[in-house]
Amino acid sequence: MVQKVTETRTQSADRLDEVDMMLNMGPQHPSTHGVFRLVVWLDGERIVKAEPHIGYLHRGSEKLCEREDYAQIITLFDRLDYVANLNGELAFCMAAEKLMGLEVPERAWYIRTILCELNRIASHMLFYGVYGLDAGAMSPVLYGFRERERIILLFEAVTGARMMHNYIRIGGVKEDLPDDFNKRMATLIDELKHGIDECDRLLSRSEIFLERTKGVGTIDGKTAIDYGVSGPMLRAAGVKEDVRVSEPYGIYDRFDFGIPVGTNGDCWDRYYVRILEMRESLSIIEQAMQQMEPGDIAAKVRRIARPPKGEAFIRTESPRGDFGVFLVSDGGDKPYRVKVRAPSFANLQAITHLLRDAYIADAVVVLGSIDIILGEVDR
Amino acid sequence: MSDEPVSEDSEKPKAEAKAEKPARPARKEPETPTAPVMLDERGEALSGVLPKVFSDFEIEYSAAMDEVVAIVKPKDIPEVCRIAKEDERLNFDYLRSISVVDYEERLEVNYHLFSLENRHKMVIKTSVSPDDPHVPTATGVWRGADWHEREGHDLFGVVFDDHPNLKPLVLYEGFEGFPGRKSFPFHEYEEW
Amino acid sequence: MLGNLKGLLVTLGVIRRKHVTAQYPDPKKRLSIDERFMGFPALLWDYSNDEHFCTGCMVCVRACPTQCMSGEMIDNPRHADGTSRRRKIVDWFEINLNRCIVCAICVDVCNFDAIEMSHEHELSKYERNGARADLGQLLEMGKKFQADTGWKPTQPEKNTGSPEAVEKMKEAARAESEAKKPEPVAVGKTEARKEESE
Repeated sequence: MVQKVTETRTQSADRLDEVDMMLNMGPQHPSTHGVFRLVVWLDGERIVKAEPHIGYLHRGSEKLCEREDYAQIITLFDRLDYVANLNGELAFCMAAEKLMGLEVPERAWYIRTILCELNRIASHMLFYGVYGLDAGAMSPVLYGFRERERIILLFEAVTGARMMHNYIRIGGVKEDLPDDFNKRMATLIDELKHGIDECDRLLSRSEIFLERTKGVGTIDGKTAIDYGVSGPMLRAAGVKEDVRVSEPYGIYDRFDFGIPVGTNGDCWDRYYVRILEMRESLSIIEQAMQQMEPGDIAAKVRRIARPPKGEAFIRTESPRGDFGVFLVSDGGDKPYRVKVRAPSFANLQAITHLLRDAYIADAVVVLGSIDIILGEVDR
Repeated sequence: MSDEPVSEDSEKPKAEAKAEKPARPARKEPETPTAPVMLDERGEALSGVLPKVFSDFEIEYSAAMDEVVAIVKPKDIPEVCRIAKEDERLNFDYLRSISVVDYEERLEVNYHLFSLENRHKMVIKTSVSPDDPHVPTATGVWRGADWHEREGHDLFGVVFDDHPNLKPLVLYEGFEGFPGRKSFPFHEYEEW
Repeated sequence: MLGNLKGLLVTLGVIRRKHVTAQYPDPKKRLSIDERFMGFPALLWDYSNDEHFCTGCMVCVRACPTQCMSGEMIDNPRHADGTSRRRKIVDWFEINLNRCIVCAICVDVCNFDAIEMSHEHELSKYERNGARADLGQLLEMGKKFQADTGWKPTQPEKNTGSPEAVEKMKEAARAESEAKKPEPVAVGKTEARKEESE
């Protein structure tokens, strides 16, 4: 619907140069970050029209939520955004807490914030690595994964699992931080600071990378908002919008941090906003570590949660953007309906706009810059 | 080991459901607590403004937790959405999500809106019958509504009239039934 | 050009560093396993009374999000002789580790300290059904876990099977509380009761 393709032309043309070539990228394509199919119609090397096809990873999570009780659903939310698991858990727990009117203890909020921000860095590091690959640079992935590994090892010490934590609970967190957490965290912050700088130096100013990404796949702020784009992608388009600031949840109003904003809304901006965001996240973590005090880690909740009848919409800032949970409860021990507003889902819609008149060689770079997680897109 | 666990698995949910059913109506009807309404300042201001803006339409206003709710007739959806986006007092330029909720006797379509400039939020709701659900599309207002509506069409069978491309999105073509609805059964898992 | 060179300098700087990766089955270079690491769930053995902690109450079976467990309880024959405090005991138990998502909900809900996330994580099997662990295998994993970590029950007074051991514990607790305060208060017991009432 973005640009009309004359289907008749495709079918009835008798000369080769008048035919739009249809090309399938995916579902099993290394650059699609999962199972995602992009159908592009090409006029020479130019993309005339791009049509994304999703649903290859559709597991019916929202429907599954309707038959699991609240404690079990947290495990499902781990598996939506599978590189930023804690952010997903947090969103669901916040929705249930909002319905139940629970006061979450201070310390629990600090633990959640620290871990979620770490998860944001881990997620962006993964983006950094694979985006380098998408753009044709081999080494960034090694550096990105090295930094991510440090964070994941810390997660393992805290939550017991590297990725599927099931750590954030309705009303708090599962258990307190381990004794040596402060020490490990201090070294981790130093290492990450150094690591982010190193990653930045390695790729950001490389001429080849700049050529590949500058001015490619631009979107302006107004169009981005129209498409419902959020997160780093929206900020790269010059819109200063971050849920942590515009509708602060938890304890985010206590921290002093900046929102990196891009100017051109091109691939490089989307990349660099994320690099800057990692630094801001580190600063949040540092402040939280200073402010954190001993105390309770969970509110008193019955093992089987029964939120009152009603509906709650929660909005959180996940690494990919505005992660929302719409939770309808009928007063029972299972939710009546759970709808996940996944940031990648909305961001991916804009690809039809981003790829208009782009070169086919840029398709991978543009797709990579959106940083989609198919587990979240398909749900 | 072959047969026993299988029969165990399949019997259990039934037994549980039987045990729960008699207890439920007795306990549930009288004392299901309801989530409180807790509008913030912006929400209060918004609920004051809304009736003035939408004076031409038949709209019921209420609130759910901290969101202002406007219950609209299905046919008014495009016009109400357009005004919600373009009126300066409302300025809802950001569509968060469109979610369909199946209440069995009706399908409710929820439009969660947010204004980046005024920083207020609201929900527009409309209800249609599950037998013949037709809601006019909002893609003309927000382009982002496209996939949300396609998903709603896929999983709940809500037909968004005049949608430019209402093809299956998350399901494959030719999928029978609407898996989001309450009437759609969960698959029985069979242990191999 | 300059940017590229800067990037190359980074890679050059790394040349001097020691490498941190290792070839996989190298026993000398294995990562240490954290105390909280969650491997697959395992059943634990009550050494004080030489029987299962598990009473087969099926709470974990019902709470499991993937329905990967099944089991059954029988009357404990040793309860009749008075050598065990457990009225019921697990008869057979099975966890399909292929379906287990290692969420530790079973550990959360268990009232009897009977199940714990072990440190077992390398369980590749050749057959599709090979990862269905029965009572014996689960116990083997659990015993290994108990030996490795020196695991102690979280509610020993409630969950120890041997009557004499519990008597001793109670006596010790009484003596301790008497030493602290004039009036005796059984601390552990009220907590245990709270758990039960939940």
